[in-house]
Amino acid sequence: MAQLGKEDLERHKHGGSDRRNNSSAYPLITDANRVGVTFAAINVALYSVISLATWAAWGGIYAAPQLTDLQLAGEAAAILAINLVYGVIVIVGVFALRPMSRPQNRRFLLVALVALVASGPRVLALLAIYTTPLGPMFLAGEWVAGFVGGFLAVSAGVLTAGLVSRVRREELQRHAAVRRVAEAVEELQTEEMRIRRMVADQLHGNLQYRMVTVTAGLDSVAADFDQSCDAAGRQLADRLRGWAETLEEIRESEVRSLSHAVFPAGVEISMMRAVEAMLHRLPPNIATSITLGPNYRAAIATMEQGVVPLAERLIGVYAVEEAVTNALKHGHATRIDVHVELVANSAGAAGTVGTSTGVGPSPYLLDVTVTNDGNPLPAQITRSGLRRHGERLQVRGGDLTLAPHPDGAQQGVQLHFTLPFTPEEPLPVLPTPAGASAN
Amino acid sequence: MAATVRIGIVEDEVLMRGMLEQTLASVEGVTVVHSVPGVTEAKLVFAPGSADLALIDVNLADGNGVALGVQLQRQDPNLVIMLLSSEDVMGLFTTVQAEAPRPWSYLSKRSSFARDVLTRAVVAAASGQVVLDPYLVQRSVPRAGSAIADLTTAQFGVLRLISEGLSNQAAAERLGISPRSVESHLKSIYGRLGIDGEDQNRRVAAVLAFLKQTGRSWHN
Repeated sequence: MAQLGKEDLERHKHGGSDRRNNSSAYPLITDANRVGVTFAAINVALYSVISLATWAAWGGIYAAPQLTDLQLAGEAAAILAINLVYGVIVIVGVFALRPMSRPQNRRFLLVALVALVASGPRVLALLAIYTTPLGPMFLAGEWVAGFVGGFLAVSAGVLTAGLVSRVRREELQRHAAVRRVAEAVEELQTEEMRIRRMVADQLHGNLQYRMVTVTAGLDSVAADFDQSCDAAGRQLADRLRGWAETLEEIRESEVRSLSHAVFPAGVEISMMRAVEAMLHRLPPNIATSITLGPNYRAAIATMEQGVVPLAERLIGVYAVEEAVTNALKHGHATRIDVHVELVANSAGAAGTVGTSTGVGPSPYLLDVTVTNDGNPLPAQITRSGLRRHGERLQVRGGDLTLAPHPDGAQQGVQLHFTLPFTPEEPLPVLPTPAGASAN
Repeated sequence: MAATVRIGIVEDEVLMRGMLEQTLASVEGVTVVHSVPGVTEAKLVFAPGSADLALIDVNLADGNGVALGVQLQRQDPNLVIMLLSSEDVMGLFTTVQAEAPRPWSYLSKRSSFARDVLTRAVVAAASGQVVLDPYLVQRSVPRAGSAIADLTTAQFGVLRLISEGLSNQAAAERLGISPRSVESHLKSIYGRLGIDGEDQNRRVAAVLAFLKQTGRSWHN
């Protein structure tokens, strides 16, 4: 995936859908033929005009003093017409015999044969109208010149058509390769999601439940010891409660953070819930806020399921998490503000590749900013974690940028990312164009 | 509570569901009207008006308990939702609260094993109080920069107990102060948190503020 640029992916999206199956050969060849015919026709016109000039220079006009100007012009027009018709016959004859479906060397043989056949009537037609003196050498010269001229003019057209069709075929192959990669990525993501869910379910359902049961069991034994009323019993009760507490902490911190890493809490409900749950879990000494833009608010007010499909939600939640982790770990921030909004994808039809809801244009962008009050960005940023997230977003047509706090007077860093998505059901509101709400 | 509280249970762990059923059935003034393992069955049995309170596990085998609660409450705005979870999901439903026709309560599974805690929580929630898990409430500290961070220690102590669903009387007994002192603390709390309105609504608003503006640190 890495060597494919963003523009490759986007071009693939435009051209991909209609050139997907085997019928793709048809537009490809007609396209190449069109270019070839045009090129050949230009050559033929050029050859005809040069031929007329040669006739004039050779002395046709002066050798016919008995003709009126009108008759002379008529002869010139006839010569031009004969050459043009000859050229058209060679072009039509060659391209009607579908040179593109033949091996390359046969193509030029075909042109030679058609030119050879058509150049005979050409010489006869010229013979009929010429008023200049004629001899066998002249006839032979005219024939050879006509044949070679027709062959070269149309061969150039056939050669061009061949080049065009090769370029197009390679382009198609590249599109197909990009599509295969996109589909493979999508398949992998679906599988990843299935495994994540399975592991998270096991962690949520079985392991945590069992640990809770053990904690509750310790609690109840402790309560029984309390009933015994002697000091030693109560001491045992306290110790038991201590162990219950330890177990509870292991469950909440270790098991839970593991289960969260696999499948963030709330992500199956909505992007906002998952982010909110994440912020809520930050140490209490960190001030947090989450704000929703008007488009997002309008969308969730009427939609039962999450607005953003699960795959994009996960990517978004992980990107926010990375931003938050960086802010705390490297920036030593004490305040984190998250803003979530939906905007129209101003990239137009250019959408995303391999989204959970199919390959195709994505009309909307998830637009998220995470602002903190931590240390300013260092001059040299390594941020390997963020780069990974940035690449993940870019592959899907999104973007990730880091900038100083938007309020210049304030210390801190703002991370902004966008991610195109196609909602599972149509959104009830049409968001305003991108940029308007980029906070 | 003169009338009986009708409870519907949605829990996929068989043993847990059995334990909840048994415990609640033995409480006077409480009947269990539905007891189902998942989202699918819950949607079938929870006819509007058939239950007063739904006790829903957050992580169900066939779906998410929060989403189910939203849906059930949309059908029946009088239904009280109490979430049950083996992990701390306090953060998960803070926004549900803002949109819900009736605020939700939350009990951790650990607490629900204690009969008295479960009973008190269910009865208080059914009567319109918002109840947050006592164990997690005791571990909660104010979040930096929030209005609750400005409360005095005594005020925060009162707010904690109110968040557990305790009455003024019970809170006073727990703190060893008079109910009048609890009332006066509450008045200052409402003032500091900028809450006005009727008494019950103010109480609910204070608990919601507690939910939103506190956090728990598990790494120590």
